[in-house]
Amino acid sequence: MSLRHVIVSVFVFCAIYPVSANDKAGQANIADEMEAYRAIQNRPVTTVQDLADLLLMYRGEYAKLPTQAKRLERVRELGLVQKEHAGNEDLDLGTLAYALLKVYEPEQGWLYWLTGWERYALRDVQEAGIMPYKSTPAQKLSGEQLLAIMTDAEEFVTKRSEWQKEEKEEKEQ
Amino acid sequence: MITNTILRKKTLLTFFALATLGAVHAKAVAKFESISGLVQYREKGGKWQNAKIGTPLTANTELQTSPTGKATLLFPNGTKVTLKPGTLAALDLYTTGSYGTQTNMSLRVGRMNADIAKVNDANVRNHFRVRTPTVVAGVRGSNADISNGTSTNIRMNEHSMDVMNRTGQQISVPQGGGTQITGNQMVRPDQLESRDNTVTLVMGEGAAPGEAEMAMFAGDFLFSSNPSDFADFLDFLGFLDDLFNRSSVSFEKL
Repeated sequence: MSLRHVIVSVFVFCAIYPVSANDKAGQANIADEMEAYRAIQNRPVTTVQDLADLLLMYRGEYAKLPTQAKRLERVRELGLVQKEHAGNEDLDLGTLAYALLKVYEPEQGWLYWLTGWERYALRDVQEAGIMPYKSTPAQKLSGEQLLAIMTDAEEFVTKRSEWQKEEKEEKEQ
Repeated sequence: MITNTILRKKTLLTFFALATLGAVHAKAVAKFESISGLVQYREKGGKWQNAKIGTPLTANTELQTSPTGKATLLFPNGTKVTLKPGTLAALDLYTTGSYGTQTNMSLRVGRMNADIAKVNDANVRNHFRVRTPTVVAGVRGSNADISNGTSTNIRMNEHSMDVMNRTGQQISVPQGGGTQITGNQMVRPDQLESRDNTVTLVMGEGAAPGEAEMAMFAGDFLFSSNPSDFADFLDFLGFLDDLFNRSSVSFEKL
């Protein structure tokens, strides 16, 4: 084997290796999902792909979809992210609010019902107490902030179910 | 002589083995009582490992549940701490003494429930303290829900709790009460209760039946409970008013 062959082989290997490594990271066994979760948490600025991955983790579907493209496609299919998002752009609060409104179904205002715009989704999510009032649709967010908002969304669901339970008990009495 | 040396070696070995075992046992301060979904733990700075039921945990251990994972920790005094999905917490300290026990935990993000074991002795107490990035909360009672998202929320299901924020402001949360802490701002239990129970009425008592019906219909169909929508609606009415009732002003060249 000539030196030229060796150099070409090294270049080919270097070009292919990162792709296969990415594929492996996408393939979800137990540790990988947690690693991916922590990677999102430590991100200084999150992307729409991070949101897609996180939403699928909450649905328990992350492990079933081996690549990022398939996960984004699945989230689009569920209608949680609007179709114009490519995945690699920075996540903003408007996009997150839209997804949260679809997933957690807080009460929707008529302006969102009428327009379906992210700015009205954000407002409805703020009213539900899931996001802070002092936030705007274009605001970017870090991984920690994203997980904090997801925590508030889960807390909202718990409170709502307790409230509904109390209401049901009152009606039965 | 040889027998003596062997005996000495054996004694030393036994001593070291016992000391090592003792150290391991002294370090374990809690264990996983139940686990569902993905849950991992690590000693601070160490490598993350998958949790299993019965795994002993030492102080300075970080714990993380996945978005679908849940874990319950059991302490020697009978206290149970449940980490809900999507939680990153740490077990900082567990000590025992004549005062009872002291358990310190940190909650970076997520939600937990602390069910603190009761003690039938006036001089002994199971102290439980939770630290979040904005708050240090000392639970005096037996059951509390703590969540840390964009703000820290604490709700006492039984007994009471003292909460202190990072500026040193301190409040007491009574049984059945709650508090919300955002940055340096603390919502007192009575304020939180009043906010939760506040209802905005659509109509007054003096409304005629027809008006009442209309108001209810409008309330159900056009508006949500979202006050911003109402403000927008008023703006929209103002805009229509401007559009159709605009008084025209004309300037003529003199």
